Amino acid sequence: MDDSELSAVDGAGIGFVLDGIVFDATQATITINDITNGSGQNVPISVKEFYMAAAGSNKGTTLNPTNVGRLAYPFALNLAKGEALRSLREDGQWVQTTPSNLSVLELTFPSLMTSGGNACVSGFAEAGSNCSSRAAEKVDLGIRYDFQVAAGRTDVLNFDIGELAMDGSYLRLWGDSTRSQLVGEARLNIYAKTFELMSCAAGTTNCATAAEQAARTIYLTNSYANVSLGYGKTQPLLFDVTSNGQFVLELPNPVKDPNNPTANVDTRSGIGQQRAVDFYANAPRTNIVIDNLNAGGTRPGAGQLPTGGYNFGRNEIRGLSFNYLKVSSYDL
Amino acid sequence: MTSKVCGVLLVALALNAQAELQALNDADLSAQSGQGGVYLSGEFSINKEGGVLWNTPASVTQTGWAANERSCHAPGSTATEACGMRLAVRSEAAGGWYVLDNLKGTFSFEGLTLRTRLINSGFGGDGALFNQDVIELGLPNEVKYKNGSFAFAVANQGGWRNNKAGAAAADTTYQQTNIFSAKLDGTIRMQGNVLIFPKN
Repeated sequence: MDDSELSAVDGAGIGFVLDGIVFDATQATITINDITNGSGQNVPISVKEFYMAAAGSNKGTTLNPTNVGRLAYPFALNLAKGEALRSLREDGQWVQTTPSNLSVLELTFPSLMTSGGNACVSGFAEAGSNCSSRAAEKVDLGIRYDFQVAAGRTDVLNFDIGELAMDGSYLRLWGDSTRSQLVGEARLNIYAKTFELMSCAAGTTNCATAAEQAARTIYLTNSYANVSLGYGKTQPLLFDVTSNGQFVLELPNPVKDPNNPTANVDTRSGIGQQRAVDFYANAPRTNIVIDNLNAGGTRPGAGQLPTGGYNFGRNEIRGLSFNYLKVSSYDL
Repeated sequence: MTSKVCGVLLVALALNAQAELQALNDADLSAQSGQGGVYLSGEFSINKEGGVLWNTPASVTQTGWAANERSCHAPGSTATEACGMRLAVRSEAAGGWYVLDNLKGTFSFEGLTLRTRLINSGFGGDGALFNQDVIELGLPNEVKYKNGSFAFAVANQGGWRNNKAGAAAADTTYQQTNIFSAKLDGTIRMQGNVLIFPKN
């Protein structure tokens, strides 16, 4: 790098692009343990057919290299002030969601664009055309879990995702001095042309012919999810392990004062109203949209709608906003 | 006398050497393109036979373990297993700990490369606009794992304690919940490059 290149760098973070990438763990033996059944016995889960490659892999049959992330819109690791970070609101406005005057560590996927973007799901305009990833930068991803539930019985869940993009996803972390803990906000955007879930291992008994496999497959076509966890200003996502060693995931009530979280707050006036109005105006929502859900049909070709079987049509959850969420683990 | 002769000789040699050294001027320096890079292949093994913190006990029965013994066998297994490295992080002032436990195994790879690369073409038209140097981390085509393992857990203390009453140095207040653990054997294909660059 010469001086002019170096001087052009203003410390906005580090970009990453995956160039000609293929990931294939089909030759490895991966086992997940410590998940137990009702009697406390270990249920080992074997991970098989785990791959990531260029779109058009025909469910992992043909693994070709692909680029993920673009030079202009890379994966990035940023350390920035809260007021410098922006999130794309549903109406296309960039808004600040992180609190001001503190340093935020941010890991981002290729960003969304407000103009000149590409279709997030090809042939499905509703998923938006503000993805920076082009068709060539989408991937096929698959994984199969074999649950050894009992001697001689294995339950299979085989996932294959076609033309996946995750543009606009991010994880932001910072320290909250009032709560004396690590907090953050996350957005997980998943855009997939196809998503197939098969409950048997291809080639085994009752899972050999196309008809047998179709009867055990659920097909999602043209689906996307924007999962938003946390709104940094008033509802940060709290990652927590309690002092008695249990895991807690919490989204606190956004109108309450973090210094006095048990006190009631009047949301008709004053600071309570300001927090409520800001939260409803700017906090990102969660959407899950499946344009077509089919069970037991047959997909005539890659990316096409399945025919036959049971057609469950369109399913969607829109504008979901968490007012309060607390999930804790307990030992059984 | 001999030392004086030696001294004179050394000075002469030093002058001689100085005469042959020349400072690189800017033009010569700019002609250097630093094309070398690094090619790495190797094998490393961490905590394969257990860590230094615990010895491996003879039995999986936890009450019988000595103060310096711990086994990290799979649940339900009757054979003991050495424990790997433990990494614990606390993210809240008075909170509990996230634990990456029992990290061990043998990893080998061939042909991990590290070099710089000028990108000024390709990438669907993005390369010409980009026109700058990047650090290119070339992934090895194959990474081999042997008895690789790790566990992700949450605990109320950073260090592991034997919480079975009756065991030597037992601490029954210790609580650890393994969310999941994984074992890894065989070959994973990882092909491609990771390009790293400052983002404006």
